[in-house]
Amino acid sequence: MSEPVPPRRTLRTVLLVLAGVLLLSLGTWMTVPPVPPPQDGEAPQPRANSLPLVRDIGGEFRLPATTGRELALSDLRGKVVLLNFGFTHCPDVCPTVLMRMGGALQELALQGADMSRVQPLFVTFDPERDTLDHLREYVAFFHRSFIGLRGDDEQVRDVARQYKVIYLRQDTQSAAGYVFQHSDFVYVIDAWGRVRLLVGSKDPEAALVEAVKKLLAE
Amino acid sequence: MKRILLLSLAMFATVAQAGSPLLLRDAWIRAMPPTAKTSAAYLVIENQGEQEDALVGAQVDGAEVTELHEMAHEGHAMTMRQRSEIVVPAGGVVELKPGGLHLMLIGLQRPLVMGETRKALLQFRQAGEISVELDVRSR
Repeated sequence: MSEPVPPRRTLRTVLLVLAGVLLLSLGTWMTVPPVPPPQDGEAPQPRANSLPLVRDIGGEFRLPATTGRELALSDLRGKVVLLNFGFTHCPDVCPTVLMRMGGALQELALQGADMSRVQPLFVTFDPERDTLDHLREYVAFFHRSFIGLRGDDEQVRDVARQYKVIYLRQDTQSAAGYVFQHSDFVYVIDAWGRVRLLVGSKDPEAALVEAVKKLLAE
Repeated sequence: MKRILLLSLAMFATVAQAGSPLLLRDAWIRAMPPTAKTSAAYLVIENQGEQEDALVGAQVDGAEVTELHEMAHEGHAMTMRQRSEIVVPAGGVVELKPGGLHLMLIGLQRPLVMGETRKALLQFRQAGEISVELDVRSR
């Protein structure tokens, strides 16, 4: 049994709590954007006019990143993620795709999209030649917000399997040494970490822009 | 009229060597991050002659090696094949472009800076060597 609290102290406590709540809500009202990005809670089903879920592709991963730390997809909750796989010795396909991603990001910025909620990622499947330092400078060329990810062979294989990325090392007669035969999709991932669209090299760059805009509006 | 004709002939001579039926245009190299060791170059080759020709080799300034390559969709993956030649049929046009045929630059000796131009020497089976200027740009 606790001592009964004197009534005057109760009143003071209530007033203090009320003042606190008022201050807090004022603070919240001033700092939170009109539509708060989703952080927690159940991921909603996509609306009919938005992009459907892509079943059986995607999922959580955690890899060493060019930020100097490990990065997990779940760290990016609340952001729309553009994910691509490749290798920096790739002369044609990878830079073409990365340039398209960079172009789409520029276009989104021009259209006034909230770029703090868009995160481009590039995963290399060539850890042998792509160090994190090399990768950092490489991806920044295509857009300053890019983060590069590099795992060991096993880590990369696991992520590739989740995203159904095909990649096959080819030893060639070329002076370039080995290259990779690989798929080149850009995975558009929503604020809850779910794959919503695969954009291929035959799709227009505008498909990326439109997909990101739809997901930002959710 | 004659002057215009002469002028256009002079302009023509900058892209195709005198007497060569090959017209080279839209030649460019992809600008790459300074750390990159490879890049690709693209151009359009038009054969206005009546004889088939073929691009059999290339040398781009500032690259240790330049090779002829082709990207192709194989199932759901892109695969790269080295080519020994790229045939340009009589009266035909061949386009080297991203995701298809390209010159692969290996061992870049200095960064490819946006806006600069690089010289390249292309070897054709019939027409011989033709030099071309490539613009460095992002796409």
